[in-house]
Amino acid sequence: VFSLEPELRSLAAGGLLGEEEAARLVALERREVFSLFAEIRTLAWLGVMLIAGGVGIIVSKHLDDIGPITLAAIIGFASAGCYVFAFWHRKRALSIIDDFVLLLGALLLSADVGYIEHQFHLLGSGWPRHLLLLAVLHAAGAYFFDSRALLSLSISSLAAWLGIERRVGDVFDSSLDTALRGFLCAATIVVWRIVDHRLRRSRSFAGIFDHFAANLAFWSALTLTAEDHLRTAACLLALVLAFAAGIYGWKRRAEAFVIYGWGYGTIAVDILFAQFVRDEVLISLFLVASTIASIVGLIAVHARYTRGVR
Amino acid sequence: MSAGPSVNEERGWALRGRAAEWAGDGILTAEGRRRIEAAVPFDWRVSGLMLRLVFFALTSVGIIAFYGLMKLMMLPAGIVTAVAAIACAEMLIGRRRFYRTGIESALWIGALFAIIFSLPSSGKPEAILVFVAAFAIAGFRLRIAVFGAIAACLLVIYVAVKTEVFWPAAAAGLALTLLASLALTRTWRRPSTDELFAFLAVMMPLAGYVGGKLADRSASHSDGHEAGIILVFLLAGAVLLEMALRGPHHALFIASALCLAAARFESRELVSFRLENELIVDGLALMALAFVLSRFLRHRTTGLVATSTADRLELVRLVTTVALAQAQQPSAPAPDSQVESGGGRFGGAGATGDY
Repeated sequence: VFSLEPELRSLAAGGLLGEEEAARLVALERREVFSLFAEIRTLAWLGVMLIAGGVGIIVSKHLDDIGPITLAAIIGFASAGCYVFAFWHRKRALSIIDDFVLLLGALLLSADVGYIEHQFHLLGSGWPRHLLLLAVLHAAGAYFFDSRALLSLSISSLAAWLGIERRVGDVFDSSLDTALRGFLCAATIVVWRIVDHRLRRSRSFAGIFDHFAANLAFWSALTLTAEDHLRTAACLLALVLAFAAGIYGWKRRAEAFVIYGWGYGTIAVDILFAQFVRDEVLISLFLVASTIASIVGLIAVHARYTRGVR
Repeated sequence: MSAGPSVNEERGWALRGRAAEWAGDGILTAEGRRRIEAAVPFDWRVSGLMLRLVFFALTSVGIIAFYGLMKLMMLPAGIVTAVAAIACAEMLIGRRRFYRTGIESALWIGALFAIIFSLPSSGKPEAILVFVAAFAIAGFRLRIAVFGAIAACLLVIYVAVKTEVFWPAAAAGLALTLLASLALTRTWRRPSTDELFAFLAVMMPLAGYVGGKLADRSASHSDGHEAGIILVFLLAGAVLLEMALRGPHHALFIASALCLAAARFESRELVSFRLENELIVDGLALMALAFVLSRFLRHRTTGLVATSTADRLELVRLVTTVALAQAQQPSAPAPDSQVESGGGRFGGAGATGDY
């Protein structure tokens, strides 16, 4: 083990820590108080993932053994049970594993809705809309239970729905359309975030919206670079986004967005250079130089950012 | 010039980190944290985990580009890259006081890899030992626990490849686990030393088990020793759990859980349950265990407790859950019985099925 007890005692002796405060911290260092919070939550989360995986296999392999209606009903009841449990516990002090029961309910709901749609074709040729339905249901659950996990599932279902419509429509089947749908999804999330910000007092979802929107927008811009005739525009767009992310991160004191800006911005600059210069030696040289410049720039920005936070 | 932080500097950095954690958990006031930071100055340049990973990735890209450039210029790429990268790393450490930024570690490991990749390939298992040496040297120089643990993992893999039998690799992994766990029971002055043993304790059971299984597979035979494997890993798990209960350390709990998980995984070969049933039963068992532990510990205020701390793993869990959900999203239209039968997938947000 490693203990900071001597340092804490010396800080207390110097009057920099109160006696009670120091005693509490020393007890932690001596492991007289040792929290298994992270371990217990990880166990519960792993449990949820295993169950969801097992249910996924069951609905795909054992239709004939069990029967579609029975199977749909069993999963539906199990999911409902999880939601009822979460609802029951909502008003009480939150136990450390309650939110994983809710997550399990949501994953079972996803399996059930997907299974029912697959089996009974309720939406006909518009079958991928079950993902939109899931996005709405998970969003409702997220707001009702104030759950970031459910919000993440909702957004990922929304993104999947946008992607799947492309395949069905087969109208857009290129990097351009993948990128456009990505931008559309990012824009939808931004609008959703604005509405959430106006109508809801809690800000617990803001981070989830921001990260999803930023990454989707960046990936869409980089996807667009696969189109030869749009590469320059896509790189410039990525640079604009990188600049915007950097400014946003700086103003909101959100370090991750500053990092996004530098990281994605560097990739865009490198692609842009390779677009115009075909010489391998020059490209390698530029990669080395741009990497060094990016690292030095990020160090400088981070140093200023850290001073600003303090 | 400085070789790295002194013991006191390293301890000071650890104290500042702990103060930030305590403040995040509400155990220490913001004012208390400021007082600690003022009392323990630390003038080395360090980065948080995310920034460290970004720096590591960027620097790696730079080294690869430099190596490629040297090749294109017909220069001895390995030696030139290694000399330049190590000189740069040492300059950053000595003059700019870089420590755990991700840059100096990428430079060091990149330099050693550049030398390795410029050597003629022998195709012999001993080549693994060269990578062991690279990680060990970089880990020792920079006091980076992950590099040390990777070196030990590769050593176990070497044993597996060399012997092509389960037990030598598994025994090496478990022996290193137990030695590291024993080391964790004594008090170390440097936090990086404690970190190294913690990483070894966590990674070695997996390395031993996976290495052993790979050895078995590469020899394309299995001599029916499942019961023995289960017994040994159960025993190791129990010993580690006992050690964890006596002197709590997160690494010991995790190592114990991994040994027990390996034993459980191995037991699949003995009982012929369907995979889906196993997954559901195991999942329910884990949730039940979590529930029981949370109920049992909820009112305790000393010893092992379940006090809420800042959930530092939330982001990892969210990303993993969404990634799994995305991986299982439908990738083809659902089959319409009138158009085609079979094929296609359905599901979403974490669950799906294949037909």
